[in-house]
Amino acid sequence: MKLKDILLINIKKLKTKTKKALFLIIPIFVLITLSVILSSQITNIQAAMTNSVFGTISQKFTLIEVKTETTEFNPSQMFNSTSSVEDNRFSALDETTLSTIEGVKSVSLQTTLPVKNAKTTDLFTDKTVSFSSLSTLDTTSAEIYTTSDFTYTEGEAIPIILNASALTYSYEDWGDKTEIAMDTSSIVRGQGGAAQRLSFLKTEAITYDKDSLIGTTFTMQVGGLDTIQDYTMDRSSGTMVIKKLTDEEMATKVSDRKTAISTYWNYDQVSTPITYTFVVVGIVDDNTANTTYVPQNFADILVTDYISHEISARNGTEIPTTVLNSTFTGVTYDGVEIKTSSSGMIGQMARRMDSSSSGNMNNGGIPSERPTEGGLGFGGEFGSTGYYIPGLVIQVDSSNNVTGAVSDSNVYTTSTKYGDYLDVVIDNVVNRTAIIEAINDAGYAYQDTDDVAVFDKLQSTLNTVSSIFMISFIVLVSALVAFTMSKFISESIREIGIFRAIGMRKNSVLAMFISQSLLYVLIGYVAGIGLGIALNFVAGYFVSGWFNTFLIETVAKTFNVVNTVDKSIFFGINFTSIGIYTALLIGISSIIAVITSLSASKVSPVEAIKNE
Amino acid sequence: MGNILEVKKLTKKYEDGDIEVTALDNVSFSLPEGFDLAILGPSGSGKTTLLQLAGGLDTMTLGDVIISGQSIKNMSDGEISDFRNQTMGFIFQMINLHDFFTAKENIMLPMLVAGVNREEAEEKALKLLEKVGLSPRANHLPKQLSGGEQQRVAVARALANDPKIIFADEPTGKLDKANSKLVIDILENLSHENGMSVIMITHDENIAKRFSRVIKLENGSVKNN
Repeated sequence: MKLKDILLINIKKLKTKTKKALFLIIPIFVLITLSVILSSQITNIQAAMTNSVFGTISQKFTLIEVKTETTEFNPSQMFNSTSSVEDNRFSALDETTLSTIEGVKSVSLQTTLPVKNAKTTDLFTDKTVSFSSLSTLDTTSAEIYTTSDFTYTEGEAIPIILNASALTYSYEDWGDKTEIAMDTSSIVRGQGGAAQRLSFLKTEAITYDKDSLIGTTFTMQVGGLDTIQDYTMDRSSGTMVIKKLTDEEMATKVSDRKTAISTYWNYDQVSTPITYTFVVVGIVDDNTANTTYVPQNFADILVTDYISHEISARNGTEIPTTVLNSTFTGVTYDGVEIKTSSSGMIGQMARRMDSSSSGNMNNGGIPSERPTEGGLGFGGEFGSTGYYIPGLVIQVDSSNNVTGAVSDSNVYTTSTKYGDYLDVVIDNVVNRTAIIEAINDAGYAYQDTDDVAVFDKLQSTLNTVSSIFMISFIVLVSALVAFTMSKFISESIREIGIFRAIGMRKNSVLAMFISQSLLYVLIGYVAGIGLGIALNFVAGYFVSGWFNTFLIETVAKTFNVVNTVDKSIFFGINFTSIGIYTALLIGISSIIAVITSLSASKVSPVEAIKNE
Repeated sequence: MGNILEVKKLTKKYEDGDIEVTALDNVSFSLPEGFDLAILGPSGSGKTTLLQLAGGLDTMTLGDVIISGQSIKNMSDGEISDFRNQTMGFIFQMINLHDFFTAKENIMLPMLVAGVNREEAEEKALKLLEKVGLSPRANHLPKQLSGGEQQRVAVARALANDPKIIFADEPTGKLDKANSKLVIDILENLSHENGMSVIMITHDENIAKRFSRVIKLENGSVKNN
């Protein structure tokens, strides 16, 4: 029998037995309509999240910043001795360990550059911005924050990713007073906030427009002498008395320092910072490291310049070891690592305390953005004396005894680098939770903060809904086709018997029922696609309403950068998913149709002649 | 002149639970070409079983059936299906038209199964409808026809592929006297006109009298020949 005639039989059947056919057509129609709407809306919600709402934040979810554990950190130990602090900072070894985790795209150690007094005066008019910490960032991690290539190219402005927390400027406000008394208990026990501590020191955030800031070129000075602290603190009585120095006293201090430095260095060169031209390519506004990023391949150049600037400033007089790390401070080198240790350790220490979540270690002093003599906010209080010489590398032995001043400007390049942060970039946000577990299993402490969890939760909810629907779809399509076709066949026993008695072969009966079920499925499918696409616009309208409510009521509480979402994004149709559902429908209904129709082909022609 | 139908030691047994039932026991007869046969017998005598086996609708336990010189015993599904389609016509007591086909389409079906193209099949179906006196009913669905009309359509369908032999299982069992006569008249005329043999189960002695041969079945065996 010709296949065309078999198909025509099915069309006849459909015309005269439409009601029966609808038992299969309508459920398929509904399922397809739902699958079109649901899969499209899930994609639309995800697109709304990634494109419109969270902007760069969603991309940031591909970054996991693993931080050195600070739980054992003990401030008293820190100040008394440098060597007694347990060193659990990361190195290249940790990079290797984490990069073996599946789903991890790259691991990069953030190293803080051992440079000081980095600042710019021309990024904002009349405002000096100090960079308390400059760190390296590799190109892959940088993709989180910038669309530009984060690589240093000789002769071009160096790309830089600013940290919003550094975009502040500080000044002293004494009013008309020259002396301020403070309750010292709040300082020592750390019960007061920074503003209370030294009320005359003001720090203000600079308002900026992110879009116009990106692309801006500015010069940064690195090095130069510290600003001389222009006040004294007296804690001898129950209260601390802060006293502003007079101009004469200041002049004396400046002159004393000049004299001391001139003994061994060319004062003008030491006091002149080195200058670079940077271009802003990105702004980090919410990461935990609170550091400004420069390209990884620029770090060695900068630090080498910085050190060589000091070495070339020496006037030839040998610097006695007794004055190193006492009269003059710098960074130390123990043959392995360059440390901003001793009094020069401020950069790292400040970072540790700034980023510490424990909140009770904030007695470390004033914000380190404000460079002061000796590096420490409390100056002499913690026993820090001496003049900081930018670029001075003091050689120490394993017991931390000073052995001399390093005269090789390549010392940083060959030293081992450590850091407090490992930037783990993952291939897909969906794997985030699993990768964090793997990181934890590898012995690294990391936990997502709540704001990440909100996003993660929505993502995983959508994925779950998506998966559940797809599984339901598979089960329902199978059940529907199996159930309705079995029913059709059982009700058609005599009909099949007649076909067989008349001479229709088994294979033709099989083909007839397979094509019947596929015809009904196809009708339901075509109608479902049509209505699904049409209703998707209606659904989009409601989903956009729901989504905006979700933004306002849930997301806006954790993120401060929520933008409105245009309705049109919810009118998108996910043709890929429709393709997947189409393939599933065809696949499943074909298999089930064949299985059920086999029973039809087994109906004996005797059934035609039974007289019941 | 050969035999149109030879039934040789035909036996049909089937299991009904643990009990083996012999529906047909060693039945033998032959029907020469051009002869008709009426099968008489009370219900349960094995008439329908005999028709099913002779028409190749069911498988026999023992024996053989030879139609127009061909044994159907060892035919495959495809072979027996084609053989039924080409050589045999069936008319059932329950009428058994396809309710989704019109009268014309029901008649066309055996031809379409045979692979005849639609135009040809339609032409022939219309001719057959004319012969059974139902031309105006060509495009009616079975439910729009009376019982007698439906059975005339079934007669026309049985004749569609010009079979050599027509098996009819009490075709008038559900019809009133007038319609019964009409159907039998049509069947007789058309089969004789085309040289077909009709094998009919009936319990009506008056109808049986019109047949050239009659066998009586009782408890699965032939009573007399």
